[in-house]
Amino acid sequence: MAAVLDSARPAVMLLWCTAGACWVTQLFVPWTTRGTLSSASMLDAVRLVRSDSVDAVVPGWAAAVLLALPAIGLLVGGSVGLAGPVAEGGRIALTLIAVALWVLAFVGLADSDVGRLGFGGWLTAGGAVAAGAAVTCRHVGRKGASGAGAPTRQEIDR
Amino acid sequence: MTRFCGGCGAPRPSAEQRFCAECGTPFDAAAPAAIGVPAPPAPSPAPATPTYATTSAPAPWAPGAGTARPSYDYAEPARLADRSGEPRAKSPVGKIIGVGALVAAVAAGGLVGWQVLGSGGGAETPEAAVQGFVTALVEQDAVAALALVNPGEAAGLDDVYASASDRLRDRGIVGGDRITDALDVSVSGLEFEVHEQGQDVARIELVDGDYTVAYDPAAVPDSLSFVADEEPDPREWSGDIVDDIGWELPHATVDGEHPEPFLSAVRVDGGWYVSLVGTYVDYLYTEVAYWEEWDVSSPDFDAASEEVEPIVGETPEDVVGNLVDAVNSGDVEDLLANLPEDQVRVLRPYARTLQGVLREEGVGFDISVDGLDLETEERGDQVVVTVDRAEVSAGVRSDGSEDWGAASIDGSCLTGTEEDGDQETVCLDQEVPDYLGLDSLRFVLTKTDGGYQVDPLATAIDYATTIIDEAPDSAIDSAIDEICYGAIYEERCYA
Repeated sequence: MAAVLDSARPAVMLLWCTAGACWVTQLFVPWTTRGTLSSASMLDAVRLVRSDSVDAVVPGWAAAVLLALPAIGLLVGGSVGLAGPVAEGGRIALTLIAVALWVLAFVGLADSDVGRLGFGGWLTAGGAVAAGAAVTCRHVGRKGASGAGAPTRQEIDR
Repeated sequence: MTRFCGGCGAPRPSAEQRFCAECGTPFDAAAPAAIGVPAPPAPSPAPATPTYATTSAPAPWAPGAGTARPSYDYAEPARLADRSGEPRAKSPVGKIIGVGALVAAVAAGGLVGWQVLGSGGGAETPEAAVQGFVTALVEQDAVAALALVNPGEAAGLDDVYASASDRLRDRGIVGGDRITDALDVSVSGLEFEVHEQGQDVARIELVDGDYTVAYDPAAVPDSLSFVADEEPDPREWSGDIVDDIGWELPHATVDGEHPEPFLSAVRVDGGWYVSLVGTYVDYLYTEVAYWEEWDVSSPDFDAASEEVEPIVGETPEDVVGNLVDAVNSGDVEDLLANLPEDQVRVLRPYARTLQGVLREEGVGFDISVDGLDLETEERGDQVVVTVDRAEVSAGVRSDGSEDWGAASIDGSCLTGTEEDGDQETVCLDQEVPDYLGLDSLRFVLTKTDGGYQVDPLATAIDYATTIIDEAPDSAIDSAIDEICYGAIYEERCYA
């Protein structure tokens, strides 16, 4: 069953990389198809917020929120080489935050209308799907290894 | 003892740990040949029962043996290894992906950081700025539109936008973040022609393009229901943008020609932005030049790239004095130097043109301001100045004739004195403050280069937001009634 894990690991890593790449790339493309951020990217919004050009409409800390998703993408993508429960748990926690941010943006920018989701919105959703697939693959791989007779605690103690 | 897992390369935390916590491979069953540790003994051929003990394994722990119990990783038993005991060739794929991903993440982080912190905004070309701006307007994307407006001209527009959308939303005129969902506008085939007027200024003419407007009466806000009543059926219409806008321009001719609509763009810190002020002044100049009202000289567009020493005042009184001096000197460039550079930069090309017209017409000014009593209120890097008292006299010379007048400001009252001595006093009565929220004369100064300058844009925005915020609901309703009557000419609008 180690073979199962061996073959699954690169696939899992690639899925995490895909998720990270999606969450970084969404910064550079329009997020919706109509209305706010339909022809501007999140990056344009971040620049505007940082320049205080829209401080009456958007508070300054919003730039940090807008940058959270790409930051999560960088952390998730850059950490695929790190193994162990802490790294994996961290990636899952970051994924949950990314999903929460996506939901906020979906409601706030696209008025909860799937038809208004633009390339950036779909990329972010795609990243979440890739991350979910990575977690699932890992879980299935473990179960496969466990089901094939991994050593028991007593065996290890011996 | 092997120090790394032969299956995945993960480090072995202690000699007691016999299975890799990451992939489950027995540490001493597969040799990590590539990492410089001794190869393990050759495996026994397919044992029926997996063998976990190796020569390097510690003796089993027993209670009371006098040694501490070795610690093992029980956290993830499912990750523990296959029990075949067969050595597995170490796959470098995981390491390659891990290292590659880390490098890519660092590079991407650098790119994001540079884009956010280091790279300026705006578009790469004047054409891209205008195209993006037009698209943003059509898509009703306020963020995109603001991002492409000259930053000096865009500052504060968000205040007006926020005030207006709050009031209109309160009155049910708009919903969501779109100005209206009842009209869906799309454009196609936009083609532009770029005329580089100077190093940092360009005029971008729209030479081709079509538009389509889809009207949905169901999406009309309730407060504008008269529109839906008048036009109850959905409809769609389209046209040629260049023709439809071109015929509306002031200098369209009656002999079947119209100018191409255009927008001006200006380069700021390497990025190109649409300049609304520059566009307005360019239209004005084109109009004047077209009708040949005056013998106007061509603008010097390279003047927009010149470095100009700003003229600032240490106190609000100094600022007013500087402005008066500049006007009296008749030097338009001096006057512009008294105003924020990022706002007037696009006007500087026309300074010499305007000065030539003034000289040709023999226009001169003689203004004095005395008895200033100003009240100031700090607002971030701006100062709002309220004029409590002032005595102003102004003389204007033109072609040998001279007109003179004086005004005295006292709170919310202004007393004007004509040349023949006639006086008239006008006060902001209670209706004006109630209706518009304006109860005094004020202007806004911006801190710059260790002093202050009058900020015309901030002043206009201050007045606009005050009016929008303070206007009573009845004023908005009256305005809608007027729009209604203008649209359908029916008395029911005032019901």
